[in-house]
Amino acid sequence: MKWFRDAKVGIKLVLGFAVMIVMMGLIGFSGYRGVSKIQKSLDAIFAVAMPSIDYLIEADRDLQQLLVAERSMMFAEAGSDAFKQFADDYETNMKQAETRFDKYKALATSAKEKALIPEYEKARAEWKALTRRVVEARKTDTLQGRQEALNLSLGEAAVKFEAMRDYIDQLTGIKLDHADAERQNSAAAYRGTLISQSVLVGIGLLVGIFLTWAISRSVTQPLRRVIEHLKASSNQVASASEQLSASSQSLAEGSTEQAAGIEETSSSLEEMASMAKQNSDNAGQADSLMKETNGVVKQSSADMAELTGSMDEISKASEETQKIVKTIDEIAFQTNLLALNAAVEAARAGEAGAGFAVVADEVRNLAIRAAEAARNTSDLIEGTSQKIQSGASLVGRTNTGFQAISESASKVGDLVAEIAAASNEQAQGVDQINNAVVEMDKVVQNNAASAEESASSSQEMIVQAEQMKGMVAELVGLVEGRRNTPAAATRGASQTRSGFVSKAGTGAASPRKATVSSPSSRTPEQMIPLDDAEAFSEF
Amino acid sequence: MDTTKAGKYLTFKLADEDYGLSLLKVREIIGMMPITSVPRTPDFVKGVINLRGKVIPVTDLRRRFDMPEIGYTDRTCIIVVEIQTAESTLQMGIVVDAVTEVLPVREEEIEPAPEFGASVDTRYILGMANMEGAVKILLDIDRVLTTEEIAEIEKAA
Repeated sequence: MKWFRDAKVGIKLVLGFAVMIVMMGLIGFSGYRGVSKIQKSLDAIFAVAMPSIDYLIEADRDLQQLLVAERSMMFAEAGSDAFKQFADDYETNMKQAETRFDKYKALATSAKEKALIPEYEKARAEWKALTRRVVEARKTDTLQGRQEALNLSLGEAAVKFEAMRDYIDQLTGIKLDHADAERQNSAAAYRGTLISQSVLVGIGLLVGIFLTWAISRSVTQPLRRVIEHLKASSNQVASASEQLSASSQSLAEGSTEQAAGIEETSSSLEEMASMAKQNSDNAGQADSLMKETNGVVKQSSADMAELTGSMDEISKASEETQKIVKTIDEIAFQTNLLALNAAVEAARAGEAGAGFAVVADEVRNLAIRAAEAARNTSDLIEGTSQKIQSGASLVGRTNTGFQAISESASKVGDLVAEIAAASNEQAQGVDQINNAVVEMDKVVQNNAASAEESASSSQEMIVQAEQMKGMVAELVGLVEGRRNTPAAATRGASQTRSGFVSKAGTGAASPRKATVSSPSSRTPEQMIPLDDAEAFSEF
Repeated sequence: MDTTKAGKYLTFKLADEDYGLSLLKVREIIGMMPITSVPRTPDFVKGVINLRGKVIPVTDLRRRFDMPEIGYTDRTCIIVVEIQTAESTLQMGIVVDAVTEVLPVREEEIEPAPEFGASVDTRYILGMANMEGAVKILLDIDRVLTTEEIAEIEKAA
């Protein structure tokens, strides 16, 4: 039976119907056989026996009428119209009787009949000769002839007539027996047919019931499974479609936001490009300014060199002045010595030298003041000289500083030129980025449109899935009968999802629930489409 | 020799100390000039100078007072003094670090020379002039050099 279960539905149906057709053929054949037997018997009865009996009875009646006409001629005047009428009747009936018997003779079949027919014909010939004599005798229209005819007719001819008729009766009896035998044949055929038909119909019914059960079982069971899977998958398709729709919509929204972001980016990039250009211009200006600065620094360096020369000259002049001051100091020292010597002389002069001593003291004071002034000047010049020296070193340092500045300025100039070039390249790069962003914008717009389309497609899919559910319900109705699935039939496309989802969820979602992380408030049941591969593989 | 020590003194500097010399003993003050050294003379005799045709012996007081010698500066002076010996008056130059001034010293400002014991000879100090917080040593130039020394100097001259 396994091959049967595995066979195609078409093959199953063809097989079942073939068995039933064979059964029908057998039943038909047995019926046909019985009916044809009955038909044969009926044919024998109605086409052979009954016409034969009819002919025999009619021939007998003709003979009776002929007898009536023969007897009637006895009482009619010879040569009268009535006599002629009777004579005609006589002849007609004679012919008719012969014709009808001949017709019967053609239908005669059995050996018994064929044996009796010559006997009858012999009796008829004997009777015929007698009756002819009767008629001839009457035609003479004499009393004698009439007496003779009457005697003959009532005597010998009547005996022969009855003998002849006896054969006819015997033949009729044989035919009746034949008919009865055929009737019994027919009844036997009817009974046989009835039994065989009953048996065959019984077998056919059993086979039919079995086949109906087996085929319907073998068709409906897979169908039920298919329906279950279809239900589950249509629900999954519906939920997946909804999910897809939601994600498509969110994608569309995201794409729109992205597009807005890209537009912002584009404007920012344009600003950046203009800023980079401005940077480039500024860097160029800075470059020229740095070149100017370099010139100024060189000028300053030359000025500093001049300043150094001037300070050297000042230093030399100070040294000269210092020499002069030293000379003055020397002179003051000598004057002091002179004053002291004058004081010595004045002291030696005693009273006379008192005035001179005062003068000498004054001179000495002058000399001391001159020396002090010289010393102060010397100190001042010394300080100036030191300051000039420190200034000279400062100038030297400043000079080296200016040289460093000059070098730095030229380096800065180079760097600024590089910055200008880099800014130009940057501006170009930003322009390229801007072009790319414009392309991206187009792509994102397309994406948004595609996402919208896919959202509407998934909406369409949801509708299709709902329709599919309706179809599944219809299929359930087809398989289970409408009365068994009233809910499925009435729910149709607007079937409540929760029931389906919970049903599918209990079966499928549990093993993968942990691995599939739902992004938001989606129930795990909406993730089930993943689990369908196994279910579909069964198909 | 006067009993009174008051009078005018020529002060000079020697190794950061102020010394006084009676003005009447001073003949002349001259700036530093070339000194011709004389062989076979005592250690403290520097040599002789030619002062306007007159040869005068020069002693170094730093050497005499056992002070470290320093090089001569443009302030270094030679004071020509007259030393009164028993027989005659001798002119002699003494080298000092610098001549300061002529200063009148009153009697009450002069204190006697301190006594450091018998081994220390302080006879060549006239006294200590205590003036305006500074102490100036007043020298008796006649006794700074001993008679023998003067004799030696006379020989050199």
